[in-house]
Parts: sequence; C-alpha cells; structure tokens
Amino acid sequence: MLKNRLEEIRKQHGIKQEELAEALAVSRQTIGSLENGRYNPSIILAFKIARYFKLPIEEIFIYEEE
Amino acid sequence: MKKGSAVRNVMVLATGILLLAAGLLEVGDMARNVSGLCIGIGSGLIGMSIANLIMIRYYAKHPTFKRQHEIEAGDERGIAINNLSKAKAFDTTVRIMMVIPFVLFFMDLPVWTTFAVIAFYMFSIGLRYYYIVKYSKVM
Repeated sequence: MLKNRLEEIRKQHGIKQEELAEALAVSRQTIGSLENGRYNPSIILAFKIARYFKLPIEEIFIYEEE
Repeated sequence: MKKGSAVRNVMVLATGILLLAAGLLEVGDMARNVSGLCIGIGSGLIGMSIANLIMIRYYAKHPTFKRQHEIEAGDERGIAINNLSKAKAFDTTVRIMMVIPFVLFFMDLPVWTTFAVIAFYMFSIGLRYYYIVKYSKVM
C-alpha cells in the first residue's frame, strides 16, 4: 500500500493545489486524488513532486506492506 | 505541418467543400452511393475543420484556457481513467458479442448474420492478442 504526505508537505510550503498542479502540469483533481490516496502516481510524477519540494521520494511517498 | 495548425485545418476545410460540392453536383458519372459518400465525408470534414478553427482562434485569445486544455489532455490520471474506461467498454462489448450470435440464431435470421457477428468477435479477440504481443515486445 502506498501512502503519501503530499497534503502535509504542500501545506507546509504554503502552496495551493492549483499552484502545485500548474507546476507539475497535471490537473487539480489529480493532486486532490493523490492527497486522498485514491490515486497512486507514476514514478515520473512521483519524481517530479519530489524534485518540486526538493525532498527524497521516500519522504513523500511511503510504501507499507499490507 | 503541425497537426492542429490553422493552415492544415483550412486545407481540410477546402477538401471538405470540394467533396461536398462534388457529391451535390454528382460530378461526371458518379454513382449515387459514391455521391452520398462524398456528401457524408465532405460534411464531416467541414464540421471538424470549422470546429478546430474556432478552437484555434479561441485559444489564441485565451492562452490560459489553452494551457489548461493541454494540461488536462496530458494529465496522467485523466489518461489512466480514459484507458481504464476503454478497457472496461471493450470487455463489456465482447461479453455482449458472445450472446448476440445465440439471439440471432433463435431469431431465425439468415445464418450469415450469425457468422458475421462471430467473425467480428474473433477479429476483436485477435486484435487484442496482436496488441498484447506488440506491447510485450516494447514494454
């Protein structure tokens, strides 16, 4: 199971969903779905998010055995 | 020439007008079905190119809307949803096509209708396996 801290990190940086979506060239709904855990990103999008926040991927996305 | 360029769409529009005119005027000894085909394709091309030209003009005036449209078209979640819905629609269509030959058989219709549906079913399944092999080689 893949969990993430995207919402927490985004709020720490004071960024709106719309702004993050624009920067990553995805829709705002995609950011919302990622934050709710309804959608798991591709490895490319995960890297883009990590680079945007200048954090290692594993600090944003956490893999847990079910 | 870019796929969505105005020049390309003007050329498609001109082709559509020519085809429509040829169909309506029945140029030469054109058969009725060929004339109908020209009218159909011509009308389709005219409609499509006019719609594209309107969108190109609209995007030129509203670049933010264009950017939004580009983002939505390339959005990976949107693409995943689209692909999943296409896959589900294919599965449902194939299941329905498995039942149709029996319905046609019991409706006492000519046997070729049943065979046509079976052939189309086999074609769909064949196409699916063709793409499985094709993508297995590249992925």
